[in-house]
Amino acid sequence: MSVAVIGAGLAGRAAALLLRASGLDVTLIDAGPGATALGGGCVDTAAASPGVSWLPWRDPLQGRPLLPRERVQLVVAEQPTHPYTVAFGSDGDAACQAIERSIDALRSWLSPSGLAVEGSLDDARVLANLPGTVRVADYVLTGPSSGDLRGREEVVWVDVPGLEAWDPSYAARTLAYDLEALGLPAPKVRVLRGVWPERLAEPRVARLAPRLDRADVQTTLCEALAGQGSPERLLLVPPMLGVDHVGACLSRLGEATGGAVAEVLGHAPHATSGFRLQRALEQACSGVTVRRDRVSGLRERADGFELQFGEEPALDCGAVVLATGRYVGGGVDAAGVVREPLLGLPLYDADGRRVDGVPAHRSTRKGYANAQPLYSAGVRVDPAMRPLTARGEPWHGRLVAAGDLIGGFDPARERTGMGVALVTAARAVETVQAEMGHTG
Amino acid sequence: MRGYRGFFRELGHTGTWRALALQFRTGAWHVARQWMGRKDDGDPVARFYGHYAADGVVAHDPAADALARQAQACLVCGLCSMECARTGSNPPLDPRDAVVAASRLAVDWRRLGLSPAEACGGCTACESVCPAGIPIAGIQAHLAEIGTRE
Repeated sequence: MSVAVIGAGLAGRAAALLLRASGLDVTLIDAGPGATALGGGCVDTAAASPGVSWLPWRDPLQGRPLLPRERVQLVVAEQPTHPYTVAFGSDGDAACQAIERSIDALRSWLSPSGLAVEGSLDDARVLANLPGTVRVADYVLTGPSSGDLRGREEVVWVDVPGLEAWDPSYAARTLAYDLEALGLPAPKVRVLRGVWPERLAEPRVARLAPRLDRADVQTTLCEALAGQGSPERLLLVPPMLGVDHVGACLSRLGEATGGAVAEVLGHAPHATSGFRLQRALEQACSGVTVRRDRVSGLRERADGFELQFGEEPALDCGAVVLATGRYVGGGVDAAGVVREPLLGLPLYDADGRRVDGVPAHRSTRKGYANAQPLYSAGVRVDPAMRPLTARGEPWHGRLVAAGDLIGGFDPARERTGMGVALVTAARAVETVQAEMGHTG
Repeated sequence: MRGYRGFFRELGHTGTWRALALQFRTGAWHVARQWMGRKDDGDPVARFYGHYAADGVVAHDPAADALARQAQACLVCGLCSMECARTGSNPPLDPRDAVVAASRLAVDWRRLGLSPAEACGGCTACESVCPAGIPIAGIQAHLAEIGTRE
């Protein structure tokens, strides 16, 4: 009997790759990209970030950003509903080891695409966003990864004329202000104007990024920026240095400018890094059976499950990994009443209150900085990642969940989303292997 | 019809007879005159849109309404633009713009001024990356068709 993985984001693809590596027969059900493809370039496992929440992001005594390892300890000590705590109890070291193992696996999956995951749990990088705000990150993808602002004497924003809804002087001012307000050593920030080639003037990051995959376009940019860098100076470019060959583009630019060049972090609709990650994961899954379809129903049978696809033929499988995500992926539906559309599983927020069956607006609070229960809504799982019914029993022994579908944490506020996706996928796969009597 | 609702106010200001006359004029005479003068010239919906066609209001088309409802699921994430540019096509209307335009009222659609000759190639690469599952190529084709209907 095969295992079906529903959902083709980071958690689903990680689960599919781990299952295939252990020799099980896997079918990945892909209904299009989810929140993974909208990421800004960080593979967030533990780094809280200034400005997004009141969560502690730095050591109160020393002023330095908290090490990601210390943040994991904080999470497992203080957040009983967080998936790290559910999976590892209060054992922060075990959680850290699991995160590091998962990141190593991710590195091996992404390396054929030339996408590297840089960073560690013992170092928190300080990076800039496209609007100029500061972000602390633990693991970062190729592109923004070389844009660490610590220890720089001069940071230079490269102006891209005609780019819509972006002003480099505003970004430069925001960056200088943010670094000062956060008490971090602030480099000199300025804007480099008038060097961007006319040929590459384009209002959309999304349309320009794929053009920079071509060698001749890269050459044009290298000639334009030649000699503008120096070892003390960091050149910051909007997230547009190619989709499939960002590493090559960055190294060529580094040689041409003679200094450090980096992309800034982007967000949708400038989520070039997320798109790269999704493409690299798709490439890594080239050996996995993928079915491009949306599951419309799941029925329990004597020896497993039957997945229904509307009019299309159904699929029989022995175990199911639910990695359908949250609001973007469609694992939780908040249009009208909040619910889990596939099985109607009960949903809980970070405080353990049940939030399904009530209108979405009832689970929100006033104040942008307050925790929003709606954002931490998801299914509750046991330590083996089996979704629980309202009575607290596993829904089925061979049904496991992974990724954002698991509730009890707010990925936007806590910045642990990708770590949770990887760690819960690994734990879910262990459960499936044990249930199927299979040891990898 | 709700009728004339200021009867008691008129009564206080102008007296009973004038108030009664106004009540009769609005509640009975006007209604009767409209009823007598009605013309049976076909579909009232078509007549409505005939009046407002010059303002750019187009009759509701169930297929277009369905597309608009689907387009309203757009997250404006820009993945369609990126995939479209990556496959090397350059349609006159960016897929993200097409979806945003289609999610608005039907009024705006004709003003895009597209023609089928300029329509995108319909490779559906944009649809394959859409997190919301929006039929973007169908929307592009529909916008182009609307542009040349008049």
